[in-house]
Amino acid sequence: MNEPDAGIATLPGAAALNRSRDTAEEMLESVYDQYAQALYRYARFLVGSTEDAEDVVQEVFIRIAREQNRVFKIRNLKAYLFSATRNVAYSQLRNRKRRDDLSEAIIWDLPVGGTGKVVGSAEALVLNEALDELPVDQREALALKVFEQMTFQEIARTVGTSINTVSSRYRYGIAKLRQALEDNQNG
Amino acid sequence: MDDKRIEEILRESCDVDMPQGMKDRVMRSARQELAHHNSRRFAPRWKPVLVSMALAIVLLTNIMDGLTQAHLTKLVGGSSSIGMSAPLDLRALLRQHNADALLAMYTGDESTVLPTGDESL
Repeated sequence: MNEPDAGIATLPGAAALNRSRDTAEEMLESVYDQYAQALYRYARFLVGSTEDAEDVVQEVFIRIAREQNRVFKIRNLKAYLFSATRNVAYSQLRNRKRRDDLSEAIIWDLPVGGTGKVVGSAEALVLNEALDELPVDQREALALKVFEQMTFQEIARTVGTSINTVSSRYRYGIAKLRQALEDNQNG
Repeated sequence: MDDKRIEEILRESCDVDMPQGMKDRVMRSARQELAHHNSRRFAPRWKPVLVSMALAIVLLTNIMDGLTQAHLTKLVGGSSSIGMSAPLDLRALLRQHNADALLAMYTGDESTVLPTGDESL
């Protein structure tokens, strides 16, 4: 299903960096304040653990610092940041797979205690377990759609695939989560 | 259960806050990279200047050497031909002179000056 193109450049919160006004350090600070939470959440969806998600965000900001001149010229900063986060997260997943010989299944950090909201409902726990079972590309589609409110077209641009593929991933992901919740309700 | 409800539960269950101190850690690394990047950025600009300066010094040294050589050659009255230093020039003349003298000794030519035996030059 194709959604109307909202135009990724006009996304709410898309930062317009002013080179004359912002020094590189101010730019980094401003980007962090605007996007770090969303990037962290997205990274956590991809890599699973909170520590790894922080590493991913850190690496993204190091890259921004390295490519500061390019970053000032980017019109669609949000898409750039999500793509960068995705690249770093996938690279980390590949390294982890090599290192630990793990499959794509990850150990999901449940948001309990200091780092996140305490989620105690049975539905949430079932959902977390079901998320754990999802392939990373389906988790990704869900994260961008549910949390970032991106259209399928925007997600497709961010992950570099077709709208239909993204739409399918989202549908499969939602279907599996629904199945898990219904199984849980039925005992 | 519809999609909206699932999305809602997902939002409630997976929306996490960032760990405490994360901003400091991330920004510190980014600032370090920024400083490193800036120092690296100036290095290529200095490189051609340093290479040019080195070439200029080599050229100047050669010119000065040539001038000094010409001056010395002028002082000892030798050949000012480029590429042969004055002492070498003189040594060659001396060898030639001694060779002529030795030849004269064997051939009995008295007009030739005897070898000096001074090879110190």
